[in-house]
Amino acid sequence: MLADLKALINTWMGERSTRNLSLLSRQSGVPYPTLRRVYQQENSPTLETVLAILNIVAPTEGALEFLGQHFPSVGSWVGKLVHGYDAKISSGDFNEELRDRISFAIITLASAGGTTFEAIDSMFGEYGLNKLRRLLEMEAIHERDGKLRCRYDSFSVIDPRIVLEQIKHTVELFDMNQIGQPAVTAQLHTDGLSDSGVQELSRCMQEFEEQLQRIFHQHRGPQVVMLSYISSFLSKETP
Amino acid sequence: MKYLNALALVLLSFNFAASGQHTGIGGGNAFPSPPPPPPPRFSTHSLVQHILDLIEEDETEGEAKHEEKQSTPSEETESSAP
Repeated sequence: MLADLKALINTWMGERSTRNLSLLSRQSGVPYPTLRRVYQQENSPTLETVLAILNIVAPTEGALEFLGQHFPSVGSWVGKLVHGYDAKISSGDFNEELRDRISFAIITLASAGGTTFEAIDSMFGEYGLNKLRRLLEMEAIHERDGKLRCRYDSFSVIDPRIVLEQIKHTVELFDMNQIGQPAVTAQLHTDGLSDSGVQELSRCMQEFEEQLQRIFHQHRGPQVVMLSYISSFLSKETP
Repeated sequence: MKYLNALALVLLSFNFAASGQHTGIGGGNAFPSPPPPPPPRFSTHSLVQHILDLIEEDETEGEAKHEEKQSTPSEETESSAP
């Protein structure tokens, strides 16, 4: 696994003379000493570190191939998502912008059918327009047919830190005034489950994802939704 | 007519083009093959076994009652002893 990861890092660094481990550390958020030990194949990184590195160094199919080979269960989930939506795994500079709440909102609007200067101004004011100018400058967003559109038509992020940061954005952007309208919900469940309950829950979420995929494919339109969910264990007994 | 068909095809493919962000990290037993169906609750064999179990239970109970009846007088004798 380490040799394959090193090969991907080498390919990425070989593409431009300005690329080195230090830049990779900055773009991936992985501390330099950790990255150096991984590169020198001295220790096995956590999955979180692997995903953060892959998100920068590997193109979509390269990342999926690596995950499929070394982390099949995660690779299967991500692969299904990426292929199902015909999405590209987004690049490092783009992902950095998603960490800002307003930039996230602008990118979301631009990627879901396009937006305009006027819309951004009315929603986020001068602060939003400044963010928009920055996104235009770095070509994360461009103008086409009178609309501001995203660099990617459909994209996926595989760095779990950025996925979670975006989920936080969706919480902050949640509009309480919409409660009561169809598809506006805030749900939370905490309880103890047996192993079979966990399996059942996992199956249920997979089916839900498959249904979402069908809905997003078949019912495109102007209502831009933010739907996010997370599920994990507060405590888990090791077998 | 051919033009109309082509146009319909374009509209259809446009409708199916995904957009937006579809992201996430999951795992565990993500998208596994469906589990095998559970065995039928009463196969012929299990039904026969179930009936045999019931008969056995009935017989055991009968025997227990029989023994109880036999043991009752002696208990009474013991309890009636001063």
